[in-house]
Amino acid sequence: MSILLEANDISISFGGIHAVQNLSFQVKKGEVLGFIGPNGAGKSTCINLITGVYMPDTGSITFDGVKLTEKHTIRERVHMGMGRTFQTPRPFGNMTVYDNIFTVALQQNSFAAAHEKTKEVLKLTEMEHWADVASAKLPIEMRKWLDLARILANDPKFIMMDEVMAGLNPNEMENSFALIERLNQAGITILFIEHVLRAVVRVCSRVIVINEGRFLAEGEPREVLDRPEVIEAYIGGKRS
Amino acid sequence: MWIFTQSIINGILAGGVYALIAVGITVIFGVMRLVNFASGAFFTLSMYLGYFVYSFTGWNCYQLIPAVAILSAAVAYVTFKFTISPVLGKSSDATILVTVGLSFFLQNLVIVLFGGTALTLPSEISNVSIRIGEYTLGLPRTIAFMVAIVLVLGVSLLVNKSNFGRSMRATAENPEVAEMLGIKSRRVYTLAWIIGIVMTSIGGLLLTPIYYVNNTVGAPFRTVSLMAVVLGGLGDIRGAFICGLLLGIIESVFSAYFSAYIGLLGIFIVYLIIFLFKPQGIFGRKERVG
Amino acid sequence: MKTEQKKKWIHQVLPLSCIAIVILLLPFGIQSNYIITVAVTCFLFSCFGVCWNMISGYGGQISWCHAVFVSIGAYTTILMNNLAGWSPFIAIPVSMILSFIISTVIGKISFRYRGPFFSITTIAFAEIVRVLLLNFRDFTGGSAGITRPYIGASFWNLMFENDTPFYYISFVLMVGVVYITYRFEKSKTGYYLKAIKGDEDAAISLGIDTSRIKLTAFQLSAVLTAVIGVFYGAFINYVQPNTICGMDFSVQIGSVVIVGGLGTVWGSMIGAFILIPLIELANILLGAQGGAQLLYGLALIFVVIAQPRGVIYLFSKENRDRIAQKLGKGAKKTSEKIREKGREDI
Repeated sequence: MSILLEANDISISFGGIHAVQNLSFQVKKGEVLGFIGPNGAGKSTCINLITGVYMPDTGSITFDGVKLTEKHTIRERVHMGMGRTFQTPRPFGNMTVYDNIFTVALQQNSFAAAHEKTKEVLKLTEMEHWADVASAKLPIEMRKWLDLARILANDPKFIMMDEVMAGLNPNEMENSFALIERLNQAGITILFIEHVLRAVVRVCSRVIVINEGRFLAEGEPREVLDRPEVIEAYIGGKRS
Repeated sequence: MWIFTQSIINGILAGGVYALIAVGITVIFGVMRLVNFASGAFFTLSMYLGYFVYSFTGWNCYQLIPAVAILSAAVAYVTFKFTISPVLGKSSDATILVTVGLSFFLQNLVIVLFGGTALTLPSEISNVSIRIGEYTLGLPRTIAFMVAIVLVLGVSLLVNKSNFGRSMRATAENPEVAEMLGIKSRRVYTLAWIIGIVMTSIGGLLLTPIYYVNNTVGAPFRTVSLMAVVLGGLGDIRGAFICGLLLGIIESVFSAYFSAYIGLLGIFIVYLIIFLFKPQGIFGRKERVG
Repeated sequence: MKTEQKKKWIHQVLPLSCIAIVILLLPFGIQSNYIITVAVTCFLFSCFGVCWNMISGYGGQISWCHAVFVSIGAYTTILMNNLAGWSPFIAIPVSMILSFIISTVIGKISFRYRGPFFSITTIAFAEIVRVLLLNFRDFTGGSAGITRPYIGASFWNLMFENDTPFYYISFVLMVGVVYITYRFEKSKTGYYLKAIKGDEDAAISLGIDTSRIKLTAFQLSAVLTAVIGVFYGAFINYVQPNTICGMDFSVQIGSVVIVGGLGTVWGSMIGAFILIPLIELANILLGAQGGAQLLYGLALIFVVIAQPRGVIYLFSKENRDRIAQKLGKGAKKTSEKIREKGREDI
């Protein structure tokens, strides 16, 4: 498998606090990579580094063969094929579900094609019955799906999911697993940032664990989660 | 050279009031993420309140301070309850619109109550100045500057050191958690609003010896202070204070070398230039947009 | 499809054309020039509102410097007439270019950042222009203002014996800007702009060029406002910095839109036709300068707090449904049934 995204020795600090330190990892094309670590480990900072909200102080990130620089704005990275969800879903609350997706689809399509694209995305995410509901009135799990649906309207290669399982009940989680599998089968590479470890074991083919901004472990989910240093980070890290 | 130094002195003195209003806006913004566009109207109102109390007591501007502080606190409380409180937590558009509406309302209310002609609050020290070597310091401005410094120091001590300050910061950080810790966020918001307004009001009152009291007198003060607040990094008391003084100096230097009304233009140009190069204000951070 | 067209005909085209016909015939029934003057003011304020609404309503970027664009149009008209005897129609392209340049500078700098920066920058800018207008006395007449003297009726000079021609001109202008907004709302920029209002961070994270979109909307809004400003200047024939270029004028424009309904095509018109006559009435009854103006502030605060969607909400389907439900006629709409079914399925 070829490499889609590569972080090479990246570091960033905020006012003397090292949020991410000398971190290197690779995301392979077509995989669902789990990205885990205790609270404050630097996961969200990593997403912000990849999407371009922050620039790393040192090190570099390569996406799809292109080395990302200051010139690659958040927007440009999206059009290179990146997408991200937020921990708290952020629908365009003043629009219907359909228009939420349609607006994003307009970027790469004509009006007619954007309507087609919107319908296709609604079908893929099984959100057809929600199409004309005001997005501000969606229940929480459907908001999370809407975040994903909007990203899909951009035809992404790579989606970063930031805690999409938090706050869902087991039934809703099952549905989300199925959706993630469908997306992955459609050829989208997924970086799965999650606290719910059961979900990680369920959907990821590989995981990376970071702690205090540093690389900690990497490997097959079940095996990695049993490693003493990982358990230590999760249990001990919170205590200290 | 004399002109330059003298204009810097004038600028610092004038900047004190800008800084005072800017810190008032910042205290409010820091706690409830609301930009008080009505600060200019409260500034104006305080002058009228001063005139009102003066008209049957005959007190001078400095004796009026406690009375005006109490009256403006009362007005602040009422306006908070009826206009600000209902839009808290709604979109930032709503807060902008309500404070602007409030500003418009107050500005015209004073015309209804006091008439449209400019008033004066007589003061014996209007034209008194202090001489230091070859430089002169207008006495009313010097007093206003010193009072402003004391108030800003007092408020920053209050925010940084006192129990109330701690609950303010906790509420700003996360209102829900603060509630769980037993902090009444409504009360904190109300108090922050009152503190911000009273600071602005005292700023207005202190300038009555050298300004006519009319309904638009506050507008330039609001404008400059808002710019100072933004340049200072929105929510940063120290930043707002320093930028208030800085803009005062810029205005004064431009006025001295060109003409009085060019001062404001000078401030605006500097404001735009700083923003062109230093996106997050003078005391900025790393995050970027777009 | 056919029934839908029929429905559209009955619900939109028919009532609108009826209103249009009534409006066109109205001057024949009214002898008073005063009422016509008020009506023209309503039309022109609708136009200003529609323009302001583009950036502030659809985009959620509250501008307080639209008075400056109005002033550009009005001052250009009157100055060109007085200094060179040129027609307002020549002032149109000039003020369009001026307002385009100014909106570009203001927008380029302040739209890079979110939050209240834009509003603060516009306030500051408007204040500065007002002060400059007041002080370049030789050119602008300072606080005394400048008047465009009457030199005989002519369409080319937009100068008439009474306000009836302006009644038709401003009506046409209103139809024009409403049509432009309508098209704008349905354009890609319109969709992106609404997304930005919905959640700017999300819009950026989905690849929308938020600063460019906001800038485009602001430029369009500014240029159109300046064009209307030309006609406004020719209509009032007198400009004075404190009234036309103060923040108060911008607040009046904003109040009209907010009372009618922020971010809607028709809101500005409804707002103008409610507020302007109300304020005229208050002017007559209260007489004081402040009393009538007070109403703008009160209306603004009241609507933002009580019903942020404005008066137009009262006519919306949602409100009718709500009332119908309250009255217990609660036959469920198909859309709601589908919605419920959706919930069961998931």
